[in-house]
Amino acid sequence: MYDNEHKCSNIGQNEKKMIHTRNLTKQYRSGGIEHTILQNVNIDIEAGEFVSLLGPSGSGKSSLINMFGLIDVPSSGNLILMGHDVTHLKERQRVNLRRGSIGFIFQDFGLIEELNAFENLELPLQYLKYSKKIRFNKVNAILERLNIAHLRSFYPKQLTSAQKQLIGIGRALVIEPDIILADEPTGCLNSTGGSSIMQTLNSINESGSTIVMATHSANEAEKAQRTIQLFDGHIITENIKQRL
Amino acid sequence: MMLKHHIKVALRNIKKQGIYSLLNVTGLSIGVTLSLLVLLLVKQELNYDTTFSNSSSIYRYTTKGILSANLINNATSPMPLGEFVKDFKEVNSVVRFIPGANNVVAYDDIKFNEDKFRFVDPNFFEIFDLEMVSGESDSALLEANTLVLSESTANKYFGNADPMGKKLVRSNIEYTITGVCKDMPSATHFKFSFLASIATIDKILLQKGDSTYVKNWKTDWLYLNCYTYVKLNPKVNPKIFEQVVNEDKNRLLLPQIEKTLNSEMSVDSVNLDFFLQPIEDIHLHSQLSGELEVNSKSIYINLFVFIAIFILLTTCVNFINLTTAKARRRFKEVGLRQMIGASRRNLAFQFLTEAVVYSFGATFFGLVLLELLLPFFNFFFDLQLEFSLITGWIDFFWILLLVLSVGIIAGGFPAFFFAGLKPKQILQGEYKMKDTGLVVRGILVCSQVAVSVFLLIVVSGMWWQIQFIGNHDPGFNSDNIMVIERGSAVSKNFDSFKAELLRHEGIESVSACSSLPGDDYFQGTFKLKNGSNEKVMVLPLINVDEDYFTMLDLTLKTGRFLSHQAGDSLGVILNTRAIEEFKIKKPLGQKIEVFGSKDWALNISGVVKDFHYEPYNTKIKPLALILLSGKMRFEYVLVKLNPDYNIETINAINDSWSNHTESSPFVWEMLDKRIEKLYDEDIRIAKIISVFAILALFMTIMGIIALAAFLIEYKSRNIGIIKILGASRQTIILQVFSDFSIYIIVGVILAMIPSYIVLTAWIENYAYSSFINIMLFPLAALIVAGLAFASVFYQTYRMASDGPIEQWQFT
Repeated sequence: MYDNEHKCSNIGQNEKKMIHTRNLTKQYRSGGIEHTILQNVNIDIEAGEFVSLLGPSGSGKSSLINMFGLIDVPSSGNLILMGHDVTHLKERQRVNLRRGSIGFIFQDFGLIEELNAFENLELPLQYLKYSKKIRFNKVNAILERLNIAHLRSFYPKQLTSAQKQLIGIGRALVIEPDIILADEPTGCLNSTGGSSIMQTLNSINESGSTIVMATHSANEAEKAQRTIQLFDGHIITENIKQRL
Repeated sequence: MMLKHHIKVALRNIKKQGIYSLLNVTGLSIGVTLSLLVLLLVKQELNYDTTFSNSSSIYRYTTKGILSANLINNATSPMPLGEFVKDFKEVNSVVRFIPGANNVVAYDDIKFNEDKFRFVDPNFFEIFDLEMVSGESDSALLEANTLVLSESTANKYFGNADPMGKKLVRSNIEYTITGVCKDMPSATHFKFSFLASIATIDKILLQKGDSTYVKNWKTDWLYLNCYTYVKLNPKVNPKIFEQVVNEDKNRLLLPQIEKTLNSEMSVDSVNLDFFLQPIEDIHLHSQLSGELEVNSKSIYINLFVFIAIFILLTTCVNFINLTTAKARRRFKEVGLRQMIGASRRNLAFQFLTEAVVYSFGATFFGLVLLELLLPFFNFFFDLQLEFSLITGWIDFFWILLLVLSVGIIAGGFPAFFFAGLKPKQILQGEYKMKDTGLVVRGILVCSQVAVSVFLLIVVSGMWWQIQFIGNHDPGFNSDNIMVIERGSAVSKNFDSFKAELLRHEGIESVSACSSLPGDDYFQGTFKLKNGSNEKVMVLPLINVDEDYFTMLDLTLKTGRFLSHQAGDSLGVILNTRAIEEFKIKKPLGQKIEVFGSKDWALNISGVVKDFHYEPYNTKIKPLALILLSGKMRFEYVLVKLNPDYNIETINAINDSWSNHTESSPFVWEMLDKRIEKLYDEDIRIAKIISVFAILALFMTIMGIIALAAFLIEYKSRNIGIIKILGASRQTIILQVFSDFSIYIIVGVILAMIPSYIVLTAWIENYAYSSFINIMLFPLAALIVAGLAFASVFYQTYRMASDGPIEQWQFT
């Protein structure tokens, strides 16, 4: 799916890194004025890590998530994902890499209202052209794993917010992604729902998945292994929590 | 794999979006139904005369040329032509037929006046291969006095009884029924009720005691008395064959011309050629003298096709507008799909599938609507359109193509619109319509305005012309004149019939004539010798009773009307046009010889002002009116009724008719209604075009309103801002108007030239036409622009009246 010629040949030690950025900068022009969203950001995220990006609105955390998710491109600097230099990929190459390797979890769940829970989970597998049988097995496995098999035929409007987010997480997991990107995953949930979802994310991380989560809540950020704090497009602190 | 998913999502979306889906499907359904109706009409028009085997190899011979100064351009040809061409190896079959005059056909007491009685060659079915219900097609018409009936005629006379071997009587001649065939299909340029063997004509003529005439009738090359059809070998080039025949026929034709001309005039002044006209072209491309039925015109087909395409495109544009106007509702879904792996192709395919699903639904409802509407449509417009999906797989194929085309056209723009969205912009709410999108919508407004103005001008112009015909002075007075068909039934005792009618106080005058407007005219060739100059001319002839002139209120230019009292049995009245053609300065007392017969010369007694003895689509030609006398035949009795006539008057005429005829049916109609019928085809077509054009116009206006709504909604943020800054309602309306006016003005200007061209082409079909009323153009422009501006005004006014926060929040 991904064009090997874009694989960076001299990244050496970065090959084990899931995400590696060097001097990543994002700027845009509006009304003749240049605005800087991110400036010279250097981040390394290892495979299996759970990293939270903490910061207030406008700090640049969502822009980072968008670039990690290949839906936005940096203005300068380098971005290497899973050993591939994706800084200058074309749109189609980004789509191909994204659809099989990156799972998204959204603040507002991102479910398609016309599809039931099963079909929402099935959709990314359809884009990956899996056979019906494989799709069936994979979706059912995820539904079982998240204990939401009973919700399989429910439509989003029939679910609670926490259930919707579980379906959203399931959809991110179903493609067995290399990276899971979660943008304010508990932003639309109450505290009970929020902590339940955080537990789920921790459990997913424990099974080996790499998770990058953007949040403005310090409490939630603490639940990750590492917190990178952003402000005005700069990394200001980086805390590593040693797991027991 | 994804197709099933896309269809499922499309169906759920349609269900979810309720009224919006209903609007979209209804709009598409109406568009599809209207287009299919028009296309069925076009299909029937284009398929005229295509049902016979090898119909593309069947031709009708037409005659074109000059006889002295007269242009001949006839659908008929001389009898000997058929005999002449049948020996050519290029010809597979030749069939001639002669239409019989209106006459009563009787089976015992069952009598009907019949106008579709044809005398045909025995091999008629070799070319027009209709299925025989009974009898043998190759032998049924070999003998004289044999008759083949169409199936519907057989049912009319005999019901369920077997007609074979039974005898019918027409004009005192008995015919034995030797066959029954299927009716001619409705889409053919001629129909028949009876086919009599051509050999019968000899008997009829011999009965009249003129054996020389029998011979001349069959051999005279200058007498265009029959319709000749040939089936050529499919490999033959008709143009080359036509040339061969025309060169070769002079061998036979020229000696006859020389003989007929009696060596008194140049042979060069006669030049008749015979042309092969594909029968498939007759209905749309033939407007010759002596056509068997009123033919249509190809310009109608072009207009119909234009309207059908326009309706479909308008439908699609309206669909695009509705879909993209509601696009914001789908942005999130599009963004999400892109994030979880959908490519542009996936998205384009999804939205195309959705449009095709809409199109399928719309076509299904459109077909149901078509089935329901077709009988009414046929009834109101006197059509015989047929539609069957089950029997016509070709129709099915075309409909499938229509579904896909509508789906792709209607869904194409939304598909690429959605596929082109960027996920980041959507998810962060940054999407804004590009200026190019606004320009595209502006162009759509402009084109919808242009087509609306075009349709309005063309339809108004057509009706203007039809009204002109309705109000045009024909040069005679047709008020309160009753026409009794088959007047020859009282020819023997016409004087007594006339006298009896005139005794009734409800009747002002009684007359008779051989033909009326819309009929074929008997033509005579006349020669005027004026000193050393000589002029030969073919003149239509009408035999008239002496009261004909005053009854029709014809205007005498000079001389006097004909009368028996003045001894005018050899008198003639010419119209002004004839006098101009003969170039006679002092016509009264001049003699015109019946061509080829020095013994029969007519004395010009008077000249009448030109009157429309033919429909308005032909220029008034020279005309000779001669007095009915002796054995002269007439077809119609004319009765001028008192304006206060009542049913008793009609009953009295009926009684008198019965007393003076041998139970001949009393068939009558009023002359003014009869003349109106001549324009029925034009009126019918104009009505059909108008109905579709008005519906198309309605759809276009709806489209303009929708587009205006969309553009105004888009501008709502700016409107909110300028309102906050203190702009008055007036200023806002003026600003929006100034943005819109360019599209509307350009649309109006674009419509002018095409509508002028089409209208001119339409009016050229009439020899007498109204000038194109120039006021139609600004009027149509004002109406459409007025509607468009009214829509813009209403929506802007509403928006300008809201608080600024509403517009601000909208964005």
